[in-house]
Amino acid sequence: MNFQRGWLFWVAVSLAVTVLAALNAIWEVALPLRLILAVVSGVLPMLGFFLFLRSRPPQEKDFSQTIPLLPEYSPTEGTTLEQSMGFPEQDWEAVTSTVKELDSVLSHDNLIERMSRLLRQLENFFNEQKEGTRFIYENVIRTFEISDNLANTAKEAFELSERVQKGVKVVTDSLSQSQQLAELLFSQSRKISKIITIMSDISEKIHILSINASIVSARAGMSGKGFEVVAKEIRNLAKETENSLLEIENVIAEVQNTIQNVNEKVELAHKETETEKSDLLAVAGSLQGVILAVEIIRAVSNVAKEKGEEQVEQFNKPIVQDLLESGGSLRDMIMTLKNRVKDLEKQFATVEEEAR
Amino acid sequence: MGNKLGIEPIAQEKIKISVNDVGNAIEVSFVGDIDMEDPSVILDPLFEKVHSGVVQNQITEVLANFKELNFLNSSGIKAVAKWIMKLAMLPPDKKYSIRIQHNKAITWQVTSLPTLTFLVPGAVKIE
Repeated sequence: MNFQRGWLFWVAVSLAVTVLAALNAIWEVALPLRLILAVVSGVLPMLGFFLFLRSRPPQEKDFSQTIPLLPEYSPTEGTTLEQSMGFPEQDWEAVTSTVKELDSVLSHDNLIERMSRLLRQLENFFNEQKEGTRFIYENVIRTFEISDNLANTAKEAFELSERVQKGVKVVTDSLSQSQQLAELLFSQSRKISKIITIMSDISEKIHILSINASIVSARAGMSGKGFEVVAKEIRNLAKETENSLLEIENVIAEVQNTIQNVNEKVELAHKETETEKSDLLAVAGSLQGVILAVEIIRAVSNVAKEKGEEQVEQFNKPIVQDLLESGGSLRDMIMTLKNRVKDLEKQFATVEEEAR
Repeated sequence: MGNKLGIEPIAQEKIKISVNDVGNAIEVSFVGDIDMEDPSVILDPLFEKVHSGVVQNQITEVLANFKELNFLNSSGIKAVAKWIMKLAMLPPDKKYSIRIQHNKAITWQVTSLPTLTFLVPGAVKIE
């Protein structure tokens, strides 16, 4: 039914109702008939209005603003709608079914919601990852600093032990020299002892000679008296010499004892410092080992530090922001696509309506 | 002795380093003191040659003989650690093992060298 016919029908029905109402008012008719007339006069205008609405021409819509997906429709005699639009029949069915399917997928409200939730989860995940990486990185930096500090401390201790080692070496060298000097003194005192022994022998011989001289002078009688005096003096001198030599020998023996004591003490000190020296060497070695071990830790933590820096640098780039923006764009695209599919469906409906 | 990798020995004032074949393995021996200011100048290229040669020739074991190394400074151990960390970066099928031979009478070796085994657990051993 076209618009003009529908309008005329509505005018005619309205006139008929008016006439019936007038007749109802003027004529005295039976009650059932009056009721029927009243119902008809009420229903007919509504029916007429309904038919009028149905017969209205479709509103013009500008689809050029949405998607120019459909080719221009120009039906020709003896062709189907699909053929006239340039689609093979099977393809057309496939297209319409795909569009419907797409619409049902896109119309699923959960899709956007799920996507938003996933994006939020992704954002949280990245933030946690970023925090975790930063935490590891900060700990690596701390380890690096600690190892650095430890290496420096060990290095200082190593240098200190080296200085002590040098000091101990000076002491052991001095003790060694003292020991050699004491040995020299001891050997010289022995030489002196030997000389004293010789001198003692000489003194004894002089003493014997003086006794012999006294005997010879006694044999000589009065003429030997003067010689006797000399012999006696020589004997006395020999005795004093003997006493002095004995005294020197005692002193030298004491000196030798002292030297021997000193030597023993020096030897003990030398042994002690030698032990200290080897202990110090072990300490220095241990410290050197610690330095090297710390250096290894530092080398490893340096690699970890560089890697951590790289990671943090990557996170500092707005990856999350880019991702979220991409997600937002994707959501907008889906919304647009959804709208366009709806437009497309409307276009299909219109085209089909026009074809009918 | 020589070696199948064709690596020349290094002889400097205080240090001698030689690379030798020991059965199917390669031995890198250090004799003397490494106390120069920047030992990486000699150690880095040497370890690089050893590492790439061992990987290319699919040698499974390297002996690092420190028994006659009396002194090693911190720059020297850094070069050793760097070499071992290269081993750590290799894929499992290319990995070789390093056996560190040390002298228990030299205190710094006892204190420091075992730390190297932690760099690549299982692949670096000390004896």
